[in-house]
Amino acid sequence: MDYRSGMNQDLSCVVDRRPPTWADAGNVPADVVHAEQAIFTSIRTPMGEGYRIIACSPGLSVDERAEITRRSPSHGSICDSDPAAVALSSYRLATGRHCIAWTRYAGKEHTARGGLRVYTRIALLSTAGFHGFDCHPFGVLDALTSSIGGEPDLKSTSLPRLSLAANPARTGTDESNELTEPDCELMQFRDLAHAVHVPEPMLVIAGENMTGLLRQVIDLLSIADRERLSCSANLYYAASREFQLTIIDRVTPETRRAVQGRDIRLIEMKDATDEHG
Amino acid sequence: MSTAKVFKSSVLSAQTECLICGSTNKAEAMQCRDCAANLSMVQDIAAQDRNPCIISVIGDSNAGKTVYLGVLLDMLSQRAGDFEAIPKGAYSVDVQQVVISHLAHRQFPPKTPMEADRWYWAYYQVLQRARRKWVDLVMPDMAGESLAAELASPHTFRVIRNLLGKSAGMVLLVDAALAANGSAHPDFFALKMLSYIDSMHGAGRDERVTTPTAVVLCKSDYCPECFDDPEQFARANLNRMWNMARSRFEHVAFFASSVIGSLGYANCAAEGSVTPIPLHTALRGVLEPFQWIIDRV
Repeated sequence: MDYRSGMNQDLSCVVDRRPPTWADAGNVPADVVHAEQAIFTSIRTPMGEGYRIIACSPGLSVDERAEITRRSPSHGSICDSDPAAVALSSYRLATGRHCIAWTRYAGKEHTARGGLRVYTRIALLSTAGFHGFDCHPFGVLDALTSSIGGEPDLKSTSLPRLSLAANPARTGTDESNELTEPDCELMQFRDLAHAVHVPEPMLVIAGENMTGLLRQVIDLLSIADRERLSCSANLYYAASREFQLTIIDRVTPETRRAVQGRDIRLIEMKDATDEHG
Repeated sequence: MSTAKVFKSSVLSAQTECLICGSTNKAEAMQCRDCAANLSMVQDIAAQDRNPCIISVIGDSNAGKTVYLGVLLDMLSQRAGDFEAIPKGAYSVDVQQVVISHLAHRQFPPKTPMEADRWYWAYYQVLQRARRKWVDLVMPDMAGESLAAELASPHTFRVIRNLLGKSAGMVLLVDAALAANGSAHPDFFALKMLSYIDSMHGAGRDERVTTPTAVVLCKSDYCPECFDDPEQFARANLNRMWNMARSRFEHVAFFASSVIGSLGYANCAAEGSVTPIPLHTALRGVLEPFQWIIDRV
């Protein structure tokens, strides 16, 4: 029997699992960026329970899933205990694609052991796609929330590939922005922006406005620096996440234990000092 | 050079060698820069001039690892059974303090985070009185999700692979209550766990894993028949895991265990959630698996 006799000529059902490449970028409208997506959180399903990737689009490789699992925040990772708190992280995977993760709370932890469920929505972009947003993670975040809305999705078991509206005019140029006005707060931001060029990781104590500080610093960076930067705001420091810039609200005993004896620069912003004395 | 002497020499130098992954760290570091293991233990262990003995408590998320470990350590520190136990370093008391304090307030302890630098590590010196035998125990409290992620994709969490590779004994917790209710999930997770350990040891077809492994059927208060014959219960309700254990592990035993005497349920109509409340503890079968492993290390 000819094995081909039962084959359907229409191969549209075949899933293309190759990550997007520079060649792909040339075949889509310039104002649309394709991205893979994933959800990392804790729910109970027939397949298991606890923090894991509960849904993702088909273009994520096994290695990418493993790395996202290792670097995503789990229980008790958000600095701010306000149920409406939001955290952001941005990093480059070993495969070369860029991961922008938006973390928030999503109700009570399902095993009722106290605390809130941490929910992370992840967008995965090629380098070309990231450049479509001038490598600004907040631009990607805006496009992501416009596309999927603000509510957590705890029911999906698979996700489609995203088509995000590119927003390159949002920020920045190819050169670092030069500040001309003497301004104490802006001077701190510029010092931080210059400090990201140094290889040692930085831990910044920022007080309440962690995501605002991160946005200000990224605004001051060149596109090339933004592409290289791995960062987070409003997530507790964890060595396993391997971020170059981590912005938290205050130093806890666990933080001190984690950074002691390591080559990590601890920087306390003026606002954080005023808040905590 | 013995392991203890290596520890001592590394501590006396300006660097500290991690007990788990072997990487060098600054002397003042408290956590390993590569695997986030507790480095304070290394200084404490070096002072004893004895090889440490790692016993890993492993199991799926929500199986009860933190509660079991905290209660076990609390029992040991109160001279339960044939044991006298002394915590070395204040950090060693953290897990039992968290567990006992929460249970005293009729709450379960918080979920263990996946990030290794937030795990509890316990280092105890334990004396088995009948045999006059001192054992230096290192017992980490790992997150079940991290274990699951490591099973799904090995080397995701290198600290887990290193810990299991260096363990002198293992306690595998399996949720007997779920299994008794007909769920196959505990069986599949335990099977994956044992398969991972078997492949990690790289034993040939005719060789078996020699690390003593105690399979503990926890939450057995839901299914009291567990206590009559734990192995028979495992054979009936966790048959895949039982087959794997008997085929590939040289030293394996089955135990039934329970910590919570009775549960209440708080219903929050506004949130639509039901919260289990531990009303009191009734310890049963907590010390026996540990005794069995200590007799074989």
